[in-house]
Amino acid sequence: MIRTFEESGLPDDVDVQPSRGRQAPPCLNDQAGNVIRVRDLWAGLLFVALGSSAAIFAALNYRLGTPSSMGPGFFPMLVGIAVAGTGLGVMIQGLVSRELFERGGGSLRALVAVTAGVLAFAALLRPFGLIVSVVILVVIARLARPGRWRETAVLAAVITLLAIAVFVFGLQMPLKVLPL
Amino acid sequence: MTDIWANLMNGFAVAAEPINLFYCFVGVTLGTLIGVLPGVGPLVTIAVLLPLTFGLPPEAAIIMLAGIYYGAAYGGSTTAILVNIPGETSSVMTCLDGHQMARQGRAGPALSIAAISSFIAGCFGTLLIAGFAPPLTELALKFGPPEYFSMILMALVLTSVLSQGSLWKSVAMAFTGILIGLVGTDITSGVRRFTFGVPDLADGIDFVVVAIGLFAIADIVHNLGDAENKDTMVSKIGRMMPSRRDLKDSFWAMVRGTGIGSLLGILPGAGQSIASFTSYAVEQKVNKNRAEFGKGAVAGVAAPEAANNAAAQTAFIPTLTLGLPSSPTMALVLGALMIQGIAPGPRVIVDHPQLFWGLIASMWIGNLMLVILNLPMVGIWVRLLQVPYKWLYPAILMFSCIGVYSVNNSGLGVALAALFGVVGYVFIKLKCEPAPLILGFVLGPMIEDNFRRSMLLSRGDATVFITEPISAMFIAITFLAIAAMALPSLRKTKEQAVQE
Repeated sequence: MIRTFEESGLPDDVDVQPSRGRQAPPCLNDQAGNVIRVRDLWAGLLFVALGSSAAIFAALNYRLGTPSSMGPGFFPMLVGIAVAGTGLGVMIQGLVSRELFERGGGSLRALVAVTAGVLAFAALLRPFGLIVSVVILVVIARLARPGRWRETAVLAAVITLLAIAVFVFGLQMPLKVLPL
Repeated sequence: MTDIWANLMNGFAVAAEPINLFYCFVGVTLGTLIGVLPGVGPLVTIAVLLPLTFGLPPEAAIIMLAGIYYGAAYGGSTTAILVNIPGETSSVMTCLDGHQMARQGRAGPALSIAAISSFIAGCFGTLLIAGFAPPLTELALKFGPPEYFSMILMALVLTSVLSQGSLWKSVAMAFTGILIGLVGTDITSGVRRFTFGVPDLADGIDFVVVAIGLFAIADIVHNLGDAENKDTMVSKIGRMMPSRRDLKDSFWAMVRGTGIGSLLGILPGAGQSIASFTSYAVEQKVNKNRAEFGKGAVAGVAAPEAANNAAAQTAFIPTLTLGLPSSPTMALVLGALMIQGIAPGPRVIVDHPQLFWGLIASMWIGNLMLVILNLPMVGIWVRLLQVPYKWLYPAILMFSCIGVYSVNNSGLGVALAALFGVVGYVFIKLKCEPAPLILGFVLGPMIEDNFRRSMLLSRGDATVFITEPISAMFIAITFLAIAAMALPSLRKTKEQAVQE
C-alpha cells in the first residue's frame, strides 16, 4: 500500500514548486524527487481525497435540506468538507516541515499475509466451520514470518484447540466446529 | 455524604454477588494474562477480549470489562518493568526506574510497589467517582443540544491537542472518525448513507470491527514489520515484598501521583500519559531522592503508576456521566455499554443505578484482586513474557477474528476488520494517530444528533453555539486549546510529554 503511494508520483494539479527552494533544510539533499517523499503531503492528500469525495457524494445523492431542517446529506457534507479542509492543513504543514518517509521498516509481506489470513477466515468460517478456518488463518498468517512447517502445524493445532475451548465450550457460542 | 455512602454500599452489594465477583476475577486475570504479553498493549488487550463480554448480562459484562481494563494496565506495567517495553505511552515513565530496579535484582519490590501505588490511587479514584459523578450528572441533565454539541467538540479537540504528533493530523483523524460513523441508516430520515448498496451496512459499521482492525490487526502488521525485540529481559524477580524503606521512600510520591492523576483524568481529552509524565516530572523536582531518578528510584515507579491508575479511574467520570470518553480505551468501554443496549450519558446513573454503583464498587474490588493476585502469580507472568511474538500473533489474530464474527455472526464484519487493518497500517506509516479517529467514530452520531437539534431549535441560526453561555464557554476552551498549541514553547513541552 505504502509502496504504491510512493511510486505513483504526484498528481499534476498539486503545485509544489513554490515551497521548495532556498529554505530547504540543509540535512536533506535537495533533489527533485525529495518532495514526493514528504510524508505529510501524502497524509494530507489522503484526507483531502476522502473528505472531498464524501462531501460531493453526499451532496449529490442525499437531500441537503435547509440549516433549520437538515436533510440526510447536510451533516455528511459538512464533515466531508471538514476532513478535506484539515487535510489541506496537513499538506501545507508537511511542505513546511518537509519530514520524509522513514526508510526501511514495515513489510509488505506481513501486511499481505495477515490481511489474507483474516480474509480467508471471513470467507471460510460459515461454510467450513471453525477448525478449517482457524487452521487456514494460522497457516496463512505464519507466512508473514516463515518458520518451520512442524512449528506451524503444532501452533495451528494448539490455537484451534484454544479457540474451541474458549469460544465453544467456555462461552457456548453457536459456532459450527466441523465442516459438515 | 450519607447518600454517597448508601450508594456505594448498594454498589458493593451488587459487585459482591458471587457471579459478579467471578466475572471481575476472570476479567482481571485475563486482562493481566494478555496485557503482560510483550507487544500487546492495553488497547489491543481490551479490543481482543471485549467480545467475551457480549453474552453476559449488562452488570456482569461491564464489571468484567473494568477488570480487563485494570488487569491490562497492570500487565502492561509488568512488561515495562521486566522487559523495558512500554505497552502504551502511559507506562513509558514506569520503564525508566522500574527496569533499572529490575536490573539491580529488585524486580520484586518494583512490581509490588507498582501494584500498591495502583491500588491506593484506585481507592482514592473510586471515592472521587462516587463523590463527583452524581452532581456532574445533575448538571449534565440540564444541558440542551447546543451545550452537548459544544462539549463533544471540545472533548474531541482536546484529545487531538493532547495526542501524539501534529494537531492538524489529529483533528483530521477525528473528523474522519465522524465520517466513518455516518455509514448506515440516518435515524431522522431513514435514508441509508454511504452503504453503497450493501444491506449489512444498514446498521452501520460495528465499533468492534473498527477497533480490532485499527488497533489489533494494524498493530500486528506493524510489530511484524519491525525487528524482533532484543531488549534485555529480566527473569529473576527476587524477594517480592518491598522493604520498609521502599514504602517510606515512595509514600509521598504515591500521594502526589494520585492527586495529579485524579485531576488530569477527569478532564475530557487529557489522559493517563500526560498524568504519568507530569507526576514523574514533579517528582524529579521535589522528591528528596531526586538524584537517584533514572537509576532505579522506587519513587520513580510509585509516582507514575499512581498517577496512571488514578487517571484511569477518574476517566470513568466523564465517560459514565457525560458519555464522553477521554481516551481510546474509554471509547472501547463506551462502545461496550452501547452493545449492551445502554445509551451512555447522564441517564445511566439515573436509569441503571445498579450497574453504575456496581461498576464503581467492582473497580475497587478489581484493584484489590490485582494486588492479591499478582504477588503469587508473578512467576507465571514472567514465563509468559518469554513466549516469542511469532507464536503469539496467530493466537491474537484468532481471538480477534472470532471476536469480530461473534458481534453479528457475519463474515462481512471480519472482512471489514481486515480492511480497517490495512487502513490502520497506512495511518501508522503516515504517522497519523488512530486514537482521535476511534473517539470521533464513537461520538459521531451524538454530534450529528445534537447539531441537528440545535439548529432546529435555533431555526437555522448557527450563532446559537456562542450565544448560549455554557456552550460558549466550551467553544472558548476549544479555541484556547488550539491557540495554546500554536505557541511554540507549549508545543515543545507537549511533545516531550507524549513522545519518547
